[in-house]
Amino acid sequence: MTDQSKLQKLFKQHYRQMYRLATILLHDDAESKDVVHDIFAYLLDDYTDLREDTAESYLLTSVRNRCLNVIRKRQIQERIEHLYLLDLDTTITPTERLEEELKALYQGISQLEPPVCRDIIIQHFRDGMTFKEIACHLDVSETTVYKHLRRALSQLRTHLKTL
Amino acid sequence: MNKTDLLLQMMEQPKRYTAEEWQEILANDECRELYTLMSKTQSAIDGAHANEEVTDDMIDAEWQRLIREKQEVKIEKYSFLKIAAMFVGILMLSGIAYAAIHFISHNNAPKEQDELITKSQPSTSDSQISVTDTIAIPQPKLYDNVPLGEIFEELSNYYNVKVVYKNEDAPRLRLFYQWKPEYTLERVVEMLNNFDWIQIQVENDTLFIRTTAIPAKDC
Repeated sequence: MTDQSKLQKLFKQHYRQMYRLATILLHDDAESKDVVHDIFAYLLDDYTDLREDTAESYLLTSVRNRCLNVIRKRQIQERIEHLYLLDLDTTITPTERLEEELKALYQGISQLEPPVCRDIIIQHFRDGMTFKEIACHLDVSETTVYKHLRRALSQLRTHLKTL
Repeated sequence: MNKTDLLLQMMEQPKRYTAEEWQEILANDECRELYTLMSKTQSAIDGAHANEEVTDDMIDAEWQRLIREKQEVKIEKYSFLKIAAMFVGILMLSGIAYAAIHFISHNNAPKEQDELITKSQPSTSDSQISVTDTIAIPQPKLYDNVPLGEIFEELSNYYNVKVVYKNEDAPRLRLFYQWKPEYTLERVVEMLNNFDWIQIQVENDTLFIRTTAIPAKDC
């Protein structure tokens, strides 16, 4: 088996996880693709035999480190704009813990009440609408949107605490 | 307006606020917690979206992109090598060309001198002339505006005589003189003595040459 075909196997095996971790950290599809791409481009150039049992953690750690480097290069305004985590080293370190939280959060979103709270979360975080746009869409004031949002987030926080 | 509403308002246009303003608002625990929760909410939604988005086709497409890029890099490297090889080739060719020119010009050098020789007469060596080693095959020779010194350097070898110039200008006098191998030394002396400004005396194996004319300046 050539290095390239070994890498292709790893690529197909771990791409989903790697890409998912990158999007969790970077909140950006294109940048996440590039991070995974760059890791394998590096491995293609300088192939070090990855052991079957350690390949996954090696690849995920590579993703995490590259993403953190991307975030570190950004100014605080850009970090806020992309909703990057503020406490990079402490919050992110245990990836498994983060995964658990995100799973719980996603579940929590679907259970938000009243429905307008859930709609606002979906419109803002999934569809990328600004609070102002949502306010226009719902024909309410921005302050009302903030109120619904705070209510939604409060429910999600409670949901996380039950973990 | 409470702090959290201010934070949400600021988050609409993050770049309108300075780093200090951001640090100030995020120093508030409530705001910081709210922001972190929003960040994780974004991650949860993006993560779920990623699960849906990544298909086998997308993975294949991304792998192809990777391989294509690698090949392009290889081609770039290859073409760089090709250019380098071309340069080496050009250098070698110019080296060969230089060597060839050098070789040809070396071969031509005697021919250029030959051009001075009129080939009107075949080289039939006169029985009276004792041919020396220095001129293996005697040829008729035309000295066109050649200093006397150069002419006699060759002729003295040919006739195996010494040359003494009685005045220091003598070797620089330029002559037009056609010499033929069949000429005896006496004939040459006689001919050259026909020039008004040259006097040559022969004593044993030595020629004494004196010139009276002011020789033309060296060209």
